[in-house]
Amino acid sequence: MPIEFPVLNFVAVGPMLAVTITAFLVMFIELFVEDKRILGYISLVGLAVAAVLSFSLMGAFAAPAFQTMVISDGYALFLNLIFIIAAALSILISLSYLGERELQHGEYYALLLFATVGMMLMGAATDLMIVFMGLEIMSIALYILAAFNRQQLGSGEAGMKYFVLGAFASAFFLYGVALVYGATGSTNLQEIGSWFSVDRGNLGDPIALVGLGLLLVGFAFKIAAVPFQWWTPDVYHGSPTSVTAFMSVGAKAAGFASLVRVLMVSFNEAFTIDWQLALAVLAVITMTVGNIAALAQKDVKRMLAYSSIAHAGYILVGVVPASMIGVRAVLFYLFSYTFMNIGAFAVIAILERRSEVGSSIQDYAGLASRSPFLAGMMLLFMVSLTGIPPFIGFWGKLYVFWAAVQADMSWLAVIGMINSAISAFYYLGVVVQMYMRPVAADEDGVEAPAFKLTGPIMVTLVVTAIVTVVFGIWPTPLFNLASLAAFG
Amino acid sequence: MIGQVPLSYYLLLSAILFAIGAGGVLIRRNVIIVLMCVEMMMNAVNLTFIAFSRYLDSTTGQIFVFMIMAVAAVEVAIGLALLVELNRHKDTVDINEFNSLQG
Amino acid sequence: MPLDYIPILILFVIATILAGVSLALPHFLGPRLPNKAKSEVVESGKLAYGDARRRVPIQYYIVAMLFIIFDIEVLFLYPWAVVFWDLKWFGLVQVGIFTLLLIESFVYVWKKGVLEWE
Repeated sequence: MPIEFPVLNFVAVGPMLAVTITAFLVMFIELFVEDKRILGYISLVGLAVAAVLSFSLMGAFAAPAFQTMVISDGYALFLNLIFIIAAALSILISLSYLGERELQHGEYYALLLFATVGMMLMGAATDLMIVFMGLEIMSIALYILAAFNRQQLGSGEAGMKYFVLGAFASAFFLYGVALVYGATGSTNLQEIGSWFSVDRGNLGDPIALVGLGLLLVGFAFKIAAVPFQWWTPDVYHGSPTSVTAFMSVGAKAAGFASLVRVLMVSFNEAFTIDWQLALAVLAVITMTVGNIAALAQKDVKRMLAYSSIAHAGYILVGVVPASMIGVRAVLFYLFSYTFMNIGAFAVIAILERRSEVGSSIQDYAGLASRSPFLAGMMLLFMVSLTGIPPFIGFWGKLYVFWAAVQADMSWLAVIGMINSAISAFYYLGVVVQMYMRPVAADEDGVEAPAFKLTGPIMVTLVVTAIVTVVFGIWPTPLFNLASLAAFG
Repeated sequence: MIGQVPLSYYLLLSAILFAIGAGGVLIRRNVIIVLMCVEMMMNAVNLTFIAFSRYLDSTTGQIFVFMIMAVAAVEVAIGLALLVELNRHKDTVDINEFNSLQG
Repeated sequence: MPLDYIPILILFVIATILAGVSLALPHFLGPRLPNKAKSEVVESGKLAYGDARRRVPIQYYIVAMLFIIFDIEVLFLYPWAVVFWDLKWFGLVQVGIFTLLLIESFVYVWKKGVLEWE
């Protein structure tokens, strides 16, 4: 019996291929070079190529590839840009951050690129098998990156915690896939969707619904939604700051990317009937828990970890309606969050003491007098994360809440706004420290940490700041791009 | 010829195995045993996949099992590597002892 | 259909009897000549030394981890081997790429000096 050869369409996965090849190259060149920083620049070139490929594919029609395993549609390409930008900005942070801590190893860049490939796969996957592969490629690379600072116990612990809980969540995700496969006879998102629409009786199929519930558990873990958020503070706290910046943005965006696609393509109606309210409640609890816990934090990294839980809650508000407007809002939010959050972590990376884990809020006291530039940057990102106009964070929140209002869930939007108000307390707490407190010495009488601004990290700060401000004042082009990317 | 074992038996067995694994991850404190429990959960899923694959007469489930096996092996290797690394700092495999990160 | 399982039951019974007999016979028939060498731990011909709970060098774990990974990756070659002739060049090229990536990781491991025992 002759085998029918599949049409592979390598062009459609061009961006992923570019990043993968770069990652392998970096791994290989690493063996022969002394100065590992060059690998960071090679990675940047590879990411730039991937970005160009993504852009060039954007105009073309949605092209499925590898027997409808992945698709390169506007949605996937928009997300590709988010992942590429997140990876590039964190590489820029890493170039100085790692060097100061003698952690400059080539593996770091290769792993970061592999994680990016995993994220891109998750964004483009149209089969649960590829969602799983992407999830694992991303997670496994991130486990190692979290534990990358070998000199510190905290970093190892962060990696271990992330690993144990991540593997645990992966198992739940897999069990969900298995049950959905058993019920529908396929792992292809489109085919699962058509199975539901063939017979209305299928909508109440218990195995498929339990499967969907378990899938949601797996995704909830990756996006750090309550009740699967315990790992977030510890992992964000212990990991090297450049890694925290990357995973707080990239892993979250990747989780949301495939969550939205799975819900929209496969489970649209089944989700609206049986799981929508549950997810709405989850969104409310997620943002509330995140915000209230963040109030009590004395470490800026931990505070941002809890705030990232809260942001997962806001983004979930956009997912809950399962509508086009919602998807647009989610994409816009993910894009804006990438810049604000990486910017904030870049400031933390500069101010972090070398020998310690985390970054105490006391180190920010009087920053305005020591470095008006850094304080101004932090002020900008904090204000934008709070959601005060005219910065990009405001528009993200506005669109997300608007999607909820459109879906007759105004209560969700109201709770979201109340939560934004709560978040102002801790974001502006940092600002108060920087502008209204004198420079403080820590318990051992050591003066505030010395810092130096190096080229690459300055680029990160400037780029994130410009995007936060420019798209904050004029969000239309970005919103149009997100609208093009949302699929229907 | 031995008759077919009904699908529900396999599903029940794998559900039990999965639950034992999940319980183990939550209760046990030895990291290595936690790793083994995660493996057990994954293999319970494998069993579900194979059972469904046979029942539906589709090969997708079997291919998925290949993927899961490869990923599970990598996860074990990573887990052991992380544990060896942690052991340089702290001479224990008790998961509750890794508690230096606190807010 | 419990009846269908009877062959398995019979197999179990036969196995149990056979094992029991082969353990019991030497016990009753064989001569007993105990000496020091016989009461030692069997190590396939090598002399046992030290405590079984002694620490194992870290390289052992690293090699074990690498073994797990490389061993499992080969698993993907089995489905290919089954349809090797039907896939023709297409399959060969695909597997060639796969193997190339495996070899790159191997070269990486080698160059990093992980395989050096000392």
